[in-house]
Amino acid sequence: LKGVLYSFARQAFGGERQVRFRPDYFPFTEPSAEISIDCFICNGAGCRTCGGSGWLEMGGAGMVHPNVLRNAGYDPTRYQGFAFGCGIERVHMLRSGTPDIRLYEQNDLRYLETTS
Amino acid sequence: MPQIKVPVEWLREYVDIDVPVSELARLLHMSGTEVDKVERAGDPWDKVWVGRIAALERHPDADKLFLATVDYGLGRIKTVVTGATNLVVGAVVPYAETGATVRDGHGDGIAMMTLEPRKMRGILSEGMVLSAKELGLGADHEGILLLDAALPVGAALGDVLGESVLHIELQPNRPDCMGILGIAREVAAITGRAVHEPAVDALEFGSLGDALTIRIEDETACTRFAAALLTGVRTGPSPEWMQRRLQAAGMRAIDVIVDITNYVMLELGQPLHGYDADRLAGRTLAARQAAIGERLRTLDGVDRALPAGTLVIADGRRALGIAGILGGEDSEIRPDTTTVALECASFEGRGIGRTATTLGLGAQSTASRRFALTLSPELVPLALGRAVRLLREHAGASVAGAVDVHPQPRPVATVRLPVADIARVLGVGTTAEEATDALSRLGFGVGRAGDVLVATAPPLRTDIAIPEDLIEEIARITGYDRIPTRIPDGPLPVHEPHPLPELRERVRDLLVGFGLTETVSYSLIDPAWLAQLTADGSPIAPAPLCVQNPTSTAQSAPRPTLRASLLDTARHNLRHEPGIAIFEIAPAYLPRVADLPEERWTVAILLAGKAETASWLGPDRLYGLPDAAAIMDGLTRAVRLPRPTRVPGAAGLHPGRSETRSADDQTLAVWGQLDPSVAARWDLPAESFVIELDLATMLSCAGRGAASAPPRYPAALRDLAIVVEDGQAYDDVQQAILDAGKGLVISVALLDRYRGPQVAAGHTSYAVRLVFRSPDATLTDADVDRSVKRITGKLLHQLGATIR
Repeated sequence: LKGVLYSFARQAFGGERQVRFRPDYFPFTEPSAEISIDCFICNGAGCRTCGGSGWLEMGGAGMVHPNVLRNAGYDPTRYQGFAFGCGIERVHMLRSGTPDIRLYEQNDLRYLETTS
Repeated sequence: MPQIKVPVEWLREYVDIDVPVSELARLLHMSGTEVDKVERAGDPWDKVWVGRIAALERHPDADKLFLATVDYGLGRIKTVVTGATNLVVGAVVPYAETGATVRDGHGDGIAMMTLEPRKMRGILSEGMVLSAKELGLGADHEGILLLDAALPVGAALGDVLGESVLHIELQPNRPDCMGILGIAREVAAITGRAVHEPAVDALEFGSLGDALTIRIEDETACTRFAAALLTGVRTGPSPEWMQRRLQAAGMRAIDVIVDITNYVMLELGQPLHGYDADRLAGRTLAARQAAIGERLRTLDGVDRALPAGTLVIADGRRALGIAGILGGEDSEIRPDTTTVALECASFEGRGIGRTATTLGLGAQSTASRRFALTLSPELVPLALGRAVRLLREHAGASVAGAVDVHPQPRPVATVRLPVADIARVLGVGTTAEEATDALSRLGFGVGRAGDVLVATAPPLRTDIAIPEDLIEEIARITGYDRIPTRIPDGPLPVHEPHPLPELRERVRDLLVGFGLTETVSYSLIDPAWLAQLTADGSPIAPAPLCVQNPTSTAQSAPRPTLRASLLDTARHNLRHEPGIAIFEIAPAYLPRVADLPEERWTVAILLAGKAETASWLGPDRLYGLPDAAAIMDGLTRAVRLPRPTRVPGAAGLHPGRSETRSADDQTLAVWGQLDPSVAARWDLPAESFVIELDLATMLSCAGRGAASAPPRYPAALRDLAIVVEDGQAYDDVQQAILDAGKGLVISVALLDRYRGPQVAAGHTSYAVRLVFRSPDATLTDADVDRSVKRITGKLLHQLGATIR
């Protein structure tokens, strides 16, 4: 899980990115984690994009909770798995500089044509 | 997510902290307790550091001045000219560098000044070493503030001195952290220190007879209800240290009794409520459901009707407060109160949360924010004992007795964790000793049975049930950075083909290559749109399923067609764009009887308006049928679709300029010009063009390419003029030619269509060019003639066509 997330973060935001993997809570994963990257705008110094913290949250992740596996028909004593999720619009917003998340549902050609 | 403010000064009462505040915040944050920000109380102290006097000498030209060389870390050294007399080499002092803003010590200590380098009697002084007054810490300006020699040189002063408050955002599974002591336990676990428990009175729970009766009437909603009876209570202000801490944590100080209940709530995370015992009807406190129609005037003066399912705390006669959320106006402690019934209870969280939301009180009530998470009932005797002690010490109270109703104590959570499972889940080996140490630091009792750890959760933790919960605790204490970073590896997995998603991506790329822009619109649409897609308002698709409780009718039906969404997108864009060429690839949801809808992946394309705007190359060019045909053609060729069955017309499209294509009785595509009255309804130009393809059908008839060598033998051409009755579809003519010329005719091209004096009335002449080629030999004229004869024969027999 950690390797997959770090690999994605670096491919999407640059190989020199610092990635942070810290404990978090979700009802459907245990252990849970949150993954962040150092803000590529200010390189961790703190700016408007990262709200001063120097870190940008990418998303949540964790090992699938055994109850979830059981409900999906898998025997948790034989299988384990990991899961992660992040807002794909958010990742795109950060990479492309899209200023407003509502642009993703408006289908305005004047915005769409600036993405590729 | 619930938030609390933790003043570091208060936190230090329960755990020793020797790291700078910023490091404390980082340790908490990286072990799962999210620190949103560290708020500093008092002056900002930007660019003020912990410095050390490295050298000291008198100023050569001024008797009363000294030159101090200050080292403030990271190799930074500056000279300061100062009149202070209490400096020695090695002293640790606050140093403000050039550009820092500090209080002006010469005035009233309120005005601020920004430091600039200054020559003092000929020697440049950069920055300042500071007195307490200049830091805003007090009135002393006699000398420089001497700091603890152990403080780290170069640290930001705010990190090691002064008041800081951690703003912590809690996860809902850790209600035990809703109090400063809970955070202290976390700090202790991370740093390996001991917790200094607050002083608590050990209460003896028994019966208070008639003096006070406690009752739980709903044991599901209220799991524990305890109270202490206190006499001799004096109201008045609470001690100054308590008021300061309450304020630092974001609450107002009111009166010692209320302040103590708030203090204990902030400290332990368990709310309590005090009642004037003499004014309790029947000297009873009960936790019960509100009666139908029962009303209560709450503390904020609002007279409320209590909805069904509201738990209330009541005396013998009426409700005194909404349990866990807000007290009633009348139940408050008064200045003349002397006997207090101090109630402390544990509730089922979701009921409290629901009631708080229904009444709109969730945000205001600090108590409800805690109760909504379901606190551990073990907090009740602890909080009550703590509050009683504080009331004894600061409000003159004496304890008359205490009662505790706890009908169904939860069994202690014991979890078995095979040590090997830790490495299996985390990917990093963890010994039984490391795991035991991590759990013990968190207050777990840990025993061992062979390779299995048997852990007992501390009583205040309500979130521990399965081995994975223990693994998470171990991981966050030993550090998530211990977990290695690896890409999944192992034996090569079986490669499973996914033809439909692959076709989808190919089509997407092809359409973008053709110059169209992809749009993504909502799958839930307004069902009224469906009636607007045909000229007469008849439904274009089966009536869709509708969501029972949609957020709005505009998004209440999973769409059985993409067309309406595309028209809507076009409508918006054509307000400012001259032309539009868009596509969307998404499922269409076709309702089924007694089942969820069938999802058919559909490619929908729309062209409307100007394809090209006027320039020196030529005038405006509008999209026309040939543009749509080119796209159909391009897709057909790229995906190698076979010749489909073609039927003119399609629902919602222009009857003379549209077509439905199918293969093997499955609809492959509909395309053509949008019906102009439909276009008008959507504010689109009359010449708008639509293409819709079913991806699954495309997939089932997509051909496989086979590369072949160039033909070895030359082709022969023949042109024919074929006369048919008006209304005869050209497509049939072409099909007949291909059927009859099979093996030799490799293409038929329509050159011209002619009606006029040279052709019989009521007839049309099609001029076609046939290309003949044999794979085996060069064709002779005779071979070609034979084929032409077969073709003309077939045309005559099948279609009554003649050759001109």
